[in-house]
Amino acid sequence: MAQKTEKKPAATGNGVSDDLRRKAESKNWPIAIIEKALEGGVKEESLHQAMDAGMTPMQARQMLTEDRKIELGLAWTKVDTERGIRAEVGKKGLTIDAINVGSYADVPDIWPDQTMRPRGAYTKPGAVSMGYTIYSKAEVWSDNLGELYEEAIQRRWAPATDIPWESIAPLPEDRERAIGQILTALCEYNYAVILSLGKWVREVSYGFHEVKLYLSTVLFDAGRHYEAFRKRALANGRGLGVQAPGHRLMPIREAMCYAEMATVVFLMNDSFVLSLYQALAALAQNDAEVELFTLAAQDKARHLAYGVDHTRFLLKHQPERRDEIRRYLNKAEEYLTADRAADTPLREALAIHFGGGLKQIGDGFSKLNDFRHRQLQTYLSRLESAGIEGHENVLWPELAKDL
Amino acid sequence: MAKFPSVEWFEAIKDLVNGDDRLRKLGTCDAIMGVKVEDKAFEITFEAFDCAGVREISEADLGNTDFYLEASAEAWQEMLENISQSGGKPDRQLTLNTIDFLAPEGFAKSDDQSRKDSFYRYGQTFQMFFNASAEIKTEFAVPA
Repeated sequence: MAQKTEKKPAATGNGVSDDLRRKAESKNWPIAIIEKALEGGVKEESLHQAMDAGMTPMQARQMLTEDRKIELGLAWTKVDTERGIRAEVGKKGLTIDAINVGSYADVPDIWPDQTMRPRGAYTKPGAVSMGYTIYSKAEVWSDNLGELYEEAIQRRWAPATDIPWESIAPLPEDRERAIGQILTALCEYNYAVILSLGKWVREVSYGFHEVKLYLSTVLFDAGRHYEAFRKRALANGRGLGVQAPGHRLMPIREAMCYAEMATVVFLMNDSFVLSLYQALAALAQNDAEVELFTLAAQDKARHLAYGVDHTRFLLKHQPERRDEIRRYLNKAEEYLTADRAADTPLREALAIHFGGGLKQIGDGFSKLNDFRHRQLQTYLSRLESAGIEGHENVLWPELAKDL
Repeated sequence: MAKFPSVEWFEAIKDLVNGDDRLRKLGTCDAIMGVKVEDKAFEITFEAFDCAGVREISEADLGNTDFYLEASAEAWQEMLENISQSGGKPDRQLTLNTIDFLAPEGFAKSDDQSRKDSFYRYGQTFQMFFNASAEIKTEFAVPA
């Protein structure tokens, strides 16, 4: 019985078979790439398949280079990041706080890295700077960030389907125009928050990822409020009202540092806005408005929880900034009162809404004054919770008239 | 039939809201709510997706809650009867939020405003808790 021998392709110099050489020439592949691939252990059959599939010589060269890296010993698996992490799943599931274990929980006072390196990952030499401007933990931090982030995700709502829009019945024209005017102002406020936070989220370095995550939920909340209020204004025939003077929004837009923005938005303006949401839920004219302003108030109270806790944290670690924070508050108070003085449409709309109609506008102004007093008292109480005591003594004079 | 206010009454509501996913659907809630009816005081604890516990406490212990709801026995009865009569959803004038807004001294109280803000932050959860009372028969200690 004759012994069967395996037929091998005829090879030329450097181990490249005639078949492979001919195909490389027909596909315009430099023979040097073929030789390098064979030396690296790539099978001749694979090279035929690659050329038949249309792979270009440049792609082949890149793959060979990458393969070479892997052959260097899977060095990336041996970097000195902490291993053996076991986060515990609690009553709320696997939360962002629950995975803050071991070295991954270390949030330094100053984050040293300008790149997109996630906290706890190994530093890659040569990674590019992302141009962040905030590296100080005290400037942005609050110990309840993880909790607030998870809560924002858990308690989210959808204006299109979670509000009983069908409950809105036709209203007298004065009532409908009044709520439309109030909602116009609230749309503008939320739009200003979106614009401002959109700018500040990118300034915070990645070491404080809880801040970035939480601010992203606030951005989404503000967008949702804008959407929901606009829907309510357009749902019952009268639409939006007159644009507000916009003075109160200027300190939000023009904040020069994060602490100023956080003070003006999350401590000062949000306090006044939460009181208004509560009033609008209480004075609702239909079930849709009850639901809308109750849900919006939940979001706003969560934003304030950050504002109060953040201010406490900032003043604990940088107590010398107390007067600076007061100046931001006074500036925002000044613009708020300027806005109120100039915003006749909103003032009259609120009086109509609080009074129950145009005919009761006098009573409405009286109730509005009572509301302003309570709104201001609540604001001062929140400042006290945040560690800013005695602010009633240095309130912006025009605002102090509501005391 | 459970008597309001009593630990048994609050336990019955706790069992109801923990018995299905109504609280879970609203999202997490971590808060300690106090209830004051005349000279009686109670503490209701919410953790994650559940009502974790109820107990009777002294008036002085109300200071350890995030906030407490205080009203006369008659006002509580009016609110709870309205919830019962309307099938678990109060009239707009008798929601927790509206009662708080219209009461000169407020309905939700606390010495610390940031802790009191839990009342707004989880408003739907607390309203849902009291709305569940429509599913039990309530006897009031002080008839209106």
